[in-house]
Amino acid sequence: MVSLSWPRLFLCFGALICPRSGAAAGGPFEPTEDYYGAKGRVKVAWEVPRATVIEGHDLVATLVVTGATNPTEVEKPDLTKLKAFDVFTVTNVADPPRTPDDKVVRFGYKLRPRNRAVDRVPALKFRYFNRAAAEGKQFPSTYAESVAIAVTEPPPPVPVPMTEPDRLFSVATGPDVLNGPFVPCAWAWGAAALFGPLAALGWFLAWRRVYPNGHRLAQMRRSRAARRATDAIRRAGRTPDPPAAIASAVLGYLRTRYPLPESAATPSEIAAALAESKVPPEEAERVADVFRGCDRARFAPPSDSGSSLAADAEAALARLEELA
Amino acid sequence: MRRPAVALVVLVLAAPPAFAAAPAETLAAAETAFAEGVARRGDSVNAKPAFARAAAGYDVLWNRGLRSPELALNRSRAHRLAGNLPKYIAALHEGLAAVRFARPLQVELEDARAAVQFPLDGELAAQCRPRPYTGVGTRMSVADAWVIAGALWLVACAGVARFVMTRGAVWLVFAGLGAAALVALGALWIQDERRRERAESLPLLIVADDTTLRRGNAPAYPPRLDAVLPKGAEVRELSRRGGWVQVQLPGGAIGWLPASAVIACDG
Repeated sequence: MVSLSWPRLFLCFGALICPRSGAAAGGPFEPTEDYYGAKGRVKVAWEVPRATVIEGHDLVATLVVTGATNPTEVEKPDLTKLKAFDVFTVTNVADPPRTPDDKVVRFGYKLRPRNRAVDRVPALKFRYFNRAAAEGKQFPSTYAESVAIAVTEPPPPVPVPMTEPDRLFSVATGPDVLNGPFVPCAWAWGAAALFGPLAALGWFLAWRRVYPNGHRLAQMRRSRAARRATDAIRRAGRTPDPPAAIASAVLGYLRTRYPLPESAATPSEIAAALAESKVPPEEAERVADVFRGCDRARFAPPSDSGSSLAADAEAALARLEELA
Repeated sequence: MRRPAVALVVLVLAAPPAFAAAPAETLAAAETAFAEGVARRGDSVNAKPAFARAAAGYDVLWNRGLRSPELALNRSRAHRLAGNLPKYIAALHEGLAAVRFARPLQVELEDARAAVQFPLDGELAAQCRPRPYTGVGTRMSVADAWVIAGALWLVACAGVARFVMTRGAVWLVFAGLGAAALVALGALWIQDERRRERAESLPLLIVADDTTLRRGNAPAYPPRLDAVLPKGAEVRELSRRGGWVQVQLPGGAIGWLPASAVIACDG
């Protein structure tokens, strides 16, 4: 069964109604494959300047058509439609303008081999119309012979060093990298809040244990007179006559706190005046002993140190403050 | 019989998947990849994939909730060396969100911002450049504050105790100074927290590629600024619509960017 495609039927119909529409007016019908409109005694050849191409790069190939009598009418073969050229990625190159007088027609292509197994530019079948040929042989074929090529491995790229600052290339290593910073929880804040008062209380209790009279002295300092007297007693060591300074400080305190008469100057008089002011007699006598000690230190050969005098005086003041 | 079975099911469901590598293993892999990248630093084409692997490993650890200044710094540096400047800046912000007092991260962020191709002059230069923020929270950690506050409180209490011992007024002054310093520290800390909350109330986005800031959420809208926003610029998200994000620049200018042109960060 003979099958005719629509284009062929159209060509037959066209030849019937318009005998000059074919390539050879009044002649045989044009072939539909490998015929690009060339007339004359045509020869074709591939022109490949460089037979070696780097993988991934383009190979420049030119199809040279010679002997065509109608150079301006010759169509450029579309290699993308030819199965043999599937091994290439074909890019058409713009061709120079043609004139009717051209003896040679050149069609340029860029062929990029798809892999390194490609070893040649395939042969290209090229049919043309030869009016002088015998009837039935007016569309002979010629071939552009295949050209051997070699696809080479691309050269290794030139290494480009990294230009970032050196410090970026160092990092912390080891398991500590995974340990986050200490973040105090609510309990930690509570512990810190409690630690201050507890530490202060502990310090105070320890101080009381080490200095049993210290607390009394501290309470005594609440009295301005006692504070002044205590300060004077503590500064007495820096005066030229410490016993006199101590005695003066204690006497000044007594006169401020008790109604001591101006005439009470000797230890006995002071003890008597204190006894009248409801100070227990033994306590009054101990205060008098402080004054006697001061007198001894001032006028007798040295037998007592100033520091013990000061301690006795402070103790006497503390006892009087407790009584007050 | 039923209760043990339920407990077994709960245990099985709660257990981590067997294929998830332990953090130590992931860290070791990331460190190996980083070392590999350092060894290949003479060839950036070969080194960058190794750094990218290291960055991916550090990302896994970070996303598991492990937060330390060292990990944040390692992670950001790996992204930088992998050639991802926006992710580098995002990682630094995420690190500072967790450990904002870490001085190395602050210095690194300043360096990262210096690497962004901000214009030197023009409106974009005024709008785009982020403003560094320094508060008491960027200078001391919570642990530092805990120690200092505890010490000041101890000083105040000790001053009071000494006053009770000696009745010397100078110790009351001492205690008062300690308490005043403690109150001042607390006030500074609270003020810093409030300023931070105000400044960081909007999500931070990093521009992933040079992008034009537009007046509307479509390419047809005219540009909001003459120059394009450079890769690595920091913006705050206002809203989203149709694949576009409305953002605000540090200078206050508002415009729209394609959602694909920004990456989000926790910072």
